[in-house]
Amino acid sequence: MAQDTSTANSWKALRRFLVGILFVLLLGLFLLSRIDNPRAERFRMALVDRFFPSFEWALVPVTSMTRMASDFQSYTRVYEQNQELRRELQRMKGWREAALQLEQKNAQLLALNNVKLNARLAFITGEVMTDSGSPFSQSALVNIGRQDGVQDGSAAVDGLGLVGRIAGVGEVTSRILFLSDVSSSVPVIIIPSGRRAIVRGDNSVVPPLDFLDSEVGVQAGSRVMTSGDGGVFPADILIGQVALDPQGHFRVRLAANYENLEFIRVLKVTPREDIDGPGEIIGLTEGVLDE
Amino acid sequence: MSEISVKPRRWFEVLLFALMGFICIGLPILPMGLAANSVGFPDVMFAVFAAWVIRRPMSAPILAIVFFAVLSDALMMRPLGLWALVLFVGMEALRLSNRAFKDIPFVLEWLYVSGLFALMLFMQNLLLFVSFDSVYLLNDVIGHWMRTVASYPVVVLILHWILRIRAFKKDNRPNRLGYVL
Repeated sequence: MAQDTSTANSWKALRRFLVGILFVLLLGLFLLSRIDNPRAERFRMALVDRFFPSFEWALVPVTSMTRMASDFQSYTRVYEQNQELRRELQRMKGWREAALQLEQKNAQLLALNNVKLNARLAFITGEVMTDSGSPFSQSALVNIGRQDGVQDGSAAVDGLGLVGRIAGVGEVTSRILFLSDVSSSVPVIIIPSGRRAIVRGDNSVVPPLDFLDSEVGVQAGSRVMTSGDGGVFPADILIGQVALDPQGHFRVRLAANYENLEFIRVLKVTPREDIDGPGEIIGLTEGVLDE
Repeated sequence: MSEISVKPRRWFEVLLFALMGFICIGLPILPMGLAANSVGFPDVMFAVFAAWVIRRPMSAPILAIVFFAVLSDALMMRPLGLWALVLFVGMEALRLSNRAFKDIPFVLEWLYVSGLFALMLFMQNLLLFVSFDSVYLLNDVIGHWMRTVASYPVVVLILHWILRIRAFKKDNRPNRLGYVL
């Protein structure tokens, strides 16, 4: 009996020790993620890479079930959709004609000017596996990673507009931080007035426009594009349209279809070369510069 | 006799606990509707762990709790280690106040757990604040709290009726001072 209590006591002491150690370890992990964030993010992506595939077998049937359910819902509206699509097709035929003419005209003008255009953007398409599942962050995991050439900070678009940027790359998975996340800020330009602003996420699908340099010429319906300032995003990717909220603040109605994210394109941009010196022109020496 | 039958039962429960841990991580990341603005999932991991620790503290090992908490931190894109720390401390608090839960009505337990969860969310935001990170918006936190509190009875029902994780009835053995309570 006495032996029993003594082993129980030592077990209790050991347990208390373990609790202390675990507490310190967790606190250390949190502090590490605050101090040396890139390293913590690498650790996180390693964990995700290691464990996410083991969840995938569970995810696949559920995904297909939900997709089937939503497809079935859409069958019930198929007639109306058909009518709508016909009308739309009619309109689009007109647009197609106009676009063709414009394209020809554009080609002629370009040929006249001998303009050198930017290299086309290359992209990789991935499938969204899951959203973050947390009420505080707006992000998603996609099934492409470093192996496929995804880089941190690349822009992610769906067919219609900018969705977000890559924040965290694993070997085969990467994480997209949505424009609506509170930690997302994107420099934008508003067309046609040319005003510059920043779209700052606030966990809603209509993020506000911050730091608008002037409200002159900005109105609901103006198009919002990335400006390329800061060098993270390439310029001229559509973000959405300006909208006015009831308080009279400018917000952006995002063009990307956030309600149904299935495939996402990650843009691969070759970085812009910086010109960092005057070049090696003969005669341009120190003395000349001092004059 | 009881010694022999209790041991395998306990290990079985530990395995069940681990399985529930994986399910708790899997549930919120199931792609039920891949939408940016969809309503967040309640913190089932907290609900399951809290209900379990209250009912069978012996079969909810702290190492497992810490492992699942860190893993879910990583998978759900939360600051690494933050919610794990808070959850760990909360579960230890529940374990220490284990005796308070003997033979109390469920409503009281529910109130206690909701209070603890509110305190934990507050601690989480406080930690974020003192580490100069951006804190979570109050509206989000309150919505998350309400959803989780609402899911707690469901979790307890599942544990009680399906997994048969129930509080031990008051035993008639004398305690270490020799009293029969």
